Amino acid sequence: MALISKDDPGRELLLMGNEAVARGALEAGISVAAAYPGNPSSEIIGSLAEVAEDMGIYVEWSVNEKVALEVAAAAAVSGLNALVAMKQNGLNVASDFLMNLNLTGIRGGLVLVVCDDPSGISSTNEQDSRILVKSADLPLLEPSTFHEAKDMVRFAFEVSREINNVCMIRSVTRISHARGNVTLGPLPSARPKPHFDTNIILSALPASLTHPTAHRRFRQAKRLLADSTFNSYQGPDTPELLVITCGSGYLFSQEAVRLLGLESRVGLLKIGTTWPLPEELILSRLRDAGRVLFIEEVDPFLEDNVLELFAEHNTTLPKVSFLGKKSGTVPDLGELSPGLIIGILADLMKVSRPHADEAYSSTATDALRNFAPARSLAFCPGCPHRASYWAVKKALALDGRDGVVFGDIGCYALGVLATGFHQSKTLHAMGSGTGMASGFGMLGRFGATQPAIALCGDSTFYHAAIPALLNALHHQSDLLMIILDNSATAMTGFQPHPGSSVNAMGSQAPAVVIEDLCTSLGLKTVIGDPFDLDESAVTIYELLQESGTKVLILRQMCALVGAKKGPRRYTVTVDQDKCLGDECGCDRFCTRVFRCPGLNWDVSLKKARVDEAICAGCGVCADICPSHAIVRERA
Amino acid sequence: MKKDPFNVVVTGVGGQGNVLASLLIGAVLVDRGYKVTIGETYGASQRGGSVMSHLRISRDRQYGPLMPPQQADLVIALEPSEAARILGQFGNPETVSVVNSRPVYPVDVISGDITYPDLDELKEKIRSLSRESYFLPATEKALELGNPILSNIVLIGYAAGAGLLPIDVDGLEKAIAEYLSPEKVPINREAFLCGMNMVR
Amino acid sequence: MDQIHGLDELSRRVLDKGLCASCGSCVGRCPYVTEFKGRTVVLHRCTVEHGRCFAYCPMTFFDPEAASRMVFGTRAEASGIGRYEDVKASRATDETVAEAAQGGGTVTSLLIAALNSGMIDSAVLTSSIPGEARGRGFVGTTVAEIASCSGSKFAGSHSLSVLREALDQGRSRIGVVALPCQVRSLRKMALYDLKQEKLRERVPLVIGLFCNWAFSPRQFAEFLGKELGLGHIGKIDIPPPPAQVLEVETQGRTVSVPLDLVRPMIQDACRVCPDMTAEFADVSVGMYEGRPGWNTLVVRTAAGAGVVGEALAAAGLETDVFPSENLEHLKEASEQKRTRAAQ
Repeated sequence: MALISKDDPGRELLLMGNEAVARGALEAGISVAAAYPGNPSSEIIGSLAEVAEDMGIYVEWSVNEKVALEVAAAAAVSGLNALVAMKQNGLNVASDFLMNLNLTGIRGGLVLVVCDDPSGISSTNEQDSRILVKSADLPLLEPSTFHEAKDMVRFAFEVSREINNVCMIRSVTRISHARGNVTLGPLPSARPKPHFDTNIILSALPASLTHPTAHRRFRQAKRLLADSTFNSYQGPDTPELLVITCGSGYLFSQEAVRLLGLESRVGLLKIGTTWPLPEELILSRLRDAGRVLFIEEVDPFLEDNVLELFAEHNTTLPKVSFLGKKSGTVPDLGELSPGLIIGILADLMKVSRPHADEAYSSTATDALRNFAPARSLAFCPGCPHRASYWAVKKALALDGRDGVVFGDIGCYALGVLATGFHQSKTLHAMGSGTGMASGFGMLGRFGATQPAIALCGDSTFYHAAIPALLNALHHQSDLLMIILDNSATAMTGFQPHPGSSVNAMGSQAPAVVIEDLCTSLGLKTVIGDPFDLDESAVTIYELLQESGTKVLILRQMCALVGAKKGPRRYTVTVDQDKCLGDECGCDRFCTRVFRCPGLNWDVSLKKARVDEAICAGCGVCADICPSHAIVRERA
Repeated sequence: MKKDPFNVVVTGVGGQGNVLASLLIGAVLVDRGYKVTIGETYGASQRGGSVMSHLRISRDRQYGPLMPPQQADLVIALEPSEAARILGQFGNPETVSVVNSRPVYPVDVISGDITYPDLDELKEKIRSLSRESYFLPATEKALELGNPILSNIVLIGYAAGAGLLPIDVDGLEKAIAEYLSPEKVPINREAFLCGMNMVR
Repeated sequence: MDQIHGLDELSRRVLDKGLCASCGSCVGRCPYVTEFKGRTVVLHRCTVEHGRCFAYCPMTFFDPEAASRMVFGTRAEASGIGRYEDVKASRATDETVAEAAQGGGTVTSLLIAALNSGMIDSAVLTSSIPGEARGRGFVGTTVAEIASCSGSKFAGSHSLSVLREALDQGRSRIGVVALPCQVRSLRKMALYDLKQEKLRERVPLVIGLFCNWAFSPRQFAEFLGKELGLGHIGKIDIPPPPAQVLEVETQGRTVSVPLDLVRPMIQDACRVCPDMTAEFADVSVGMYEGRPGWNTLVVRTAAGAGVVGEALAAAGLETDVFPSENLEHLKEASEQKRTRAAQ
């Protein structure tokens, strides 16, 4: 029995925030869940997929976030409960549909969980998703603990069914990817039968009719959220400072107050229903607070809305000074941390922060400065992307026309770093590398001579690059699209995609084969093995000499998937007699340039060697050593 | 637990099994009635970056997923320079460290852009930042067991055997069976006991 | 070592300026620089401060005094055809050799004699790439292999790249057939020998070829292919004046291309090269204008005289007097190239 589907009410488990969300969805009786993977949201649908068969629900990894929302919406307009999850970037993809779905509404329950990534730990940006609910007229909940994440999902479904519209939950990395105690509730025994009521037309058009309906549903939501127990106050009746917080800010603030001994001076107003706001609760607290500090992650969303509320009621409220991102008291970007909040509170309340003794602190500083070497991100040992990027680099050098690589989203986004030899020159959104390359490939008419390469992974290809490829083909753009096919959505945990022969629930599924698709479009399509470095480089070079839109699939399984599937393919060693080390003149090519973590430079011997605990056994490095000192043997 | 909350940091490099180690510690303790919060920084996992998990263990409340600076009571390091990085931020004179002695060289060291600290000096630095510190050949032991990834369980076994964590082999087995899968019990049990036996 | 730098500086001073002579001395085992379709390509930055690529490149710097002291034991002779012992007319006596040859077959005869006498154990040569205008380096170790490489190539071939191959094979007496730029490179290898590879001893015989210029291999190939639409390229020749054409054999016919049309494809390196007769070779061989089937043979060193002696003794070669007015004419032509290069 999998963890999140245990039918053991009252049992306490250690669940990841995302698993808690999934459990909440099960307790709410969902029938359908869909998503496109994206950290920090991936484990929500991932864990539901694992229990789909047992629980009798339908779970899919959709081709992209918009389709995921559409799939979930279909269930919801047919009276079922459906959950859709995505990261903040994904919401942008889905928002075209969302901004129309909100006008027609639904008939069952539809909860949209968006996991934001403050500081962009595993994202290209750190955009705050919350702003969208204001223009969409949708209610928003923000959990602060793991157990709350579970219960909030259940509540969100109640709200959604009540108002016949989507209810959104915003999580953040420190909730989604953290773990904590969750007490299980009961699981439902029956689910409704889906039925689409054909007497009703769900058309967003005309907005003159549907927009007022959305407003009405929003007002209804406001009444439902006003008394929610997800909002609470703790602290003195008339605090010197009122901290208004939500999401991950709550536990951090609570600890900071305790650690600084400020329980009798600082009040903590935790808001779980951040839109629409519980106005009465907030107004009542503002009446007794001279100073307010907002603690929330990324944008001043709560802050703006409370200020707006205060402005509406300013004639009946005493003077209040507001501190937060707008005053510069709290950083207006990045993640929060307890250390940061302790510092802010200590300064505001004029108390000293806990400090270690001086000798220890200076040793600690020395440890950080001199004993903790930086660790740049790098492709894994045995990763085919390292080989692919070297082939691209070599091909562009052989070509000599200063070609441009338009990069995309996935592990291979690291191609902008040294691990990919800085080959990717652009990095934006899913599929946008191919779209930009399509445009760049049209610039020959103005005298551009640089060839264009669009580089994207297999999952990204299905997600958003296909329309861009069609665009390039139709407009006869000169570009080479290189698809780095590692047979997985590797960045987020190896979820299947339309190219997989198995679906999210583990059933057999027809695979949409990339080369079949491309060939059927009349595209010149070549398949290569990135581990054959020289052959790949020459293939890329030759394709670059041809005009029009071409596709090269560099296919090699993700090293991590490979490691799960079986033993290493090679045992790799460095022949210490053949390695000439610093005497070679290769300038440590294998380690200085190729930089596979499985290789080391032995500082005392001044020679290369293989770290057997790290090497993945791909054997590619044997081909790059000019002295043939790296030896691979079939393992 | 002498202190509440008891703060543990499990640290290492992406791919060393850091997340799993903290999950298992947490799962055993939740089963024993503790409130446990684990915060993981693993955007970089599997891709060569530093990875740390903060475990906040308490009898009475759920703490935040990140601990304040200088609040670590126990540091379990799968890699020695990562121990220095964590002690530098979260250590205090009472911190106890359990450290795998085997370095994993950063790609910047491999490339020659920076150097890795001298191992003896590094150990000395870790000692000077810990009330007690233990250095173990965990990777070598794990390789003997057949898989370097087991070094994480070897270290947990040692911490348990040294009385630094209230975990026993039965609790661990139950957690593995429930949170991972029953077939993973035997090899991890072996690794745990191997770590425990190193205490003597 | 003051004057020796690394790959970055080689790029700046030679490659980026289009001054590469396509000699091949910088490519071979180096992972940072390679030859591709006739072009020398830098793949990645190398941080070695004193690189063999820079040290052995004929275009970075050349110290004629040091080379002269090493090769001839005398001061440099900076006029005419450089330092020499003797100039002869020569040709191969073996009919197969003579038939395959573009000139008199002298080079092939000398190499065969050197190999048979044990003076060399291998030879670095330039072989034709079937169908293409350019050649490539080849390590020959048998008479048949050596004979297969006869015939002139008019584009740079990077043939010195295979010297590394011969060295890696452990060859200890390597003969090299080299253009003047490549002779200079070989002498720099012997002079500076950065990795103590005993390059002087291991290359006991350098047979130089007269050369006025060579085409840039990639440009020339593109010209023949894209501009003239010629497919499979066979033998290429420039008949003696006043023809002023380049004759290209292709798919069973011969195409004559006016020299004026192909001159822009000449490597810039050749325009600044002062050396027509491979002045630092052990023995130099060239065409004998006005006497078809014969070569001009310039003997410069004892090794050169030795190999000519072996060839004569083995009756693979016959020589004749090289008239003094022809020698004056040769010196004049050589002097002209020296002057043009200085401009």
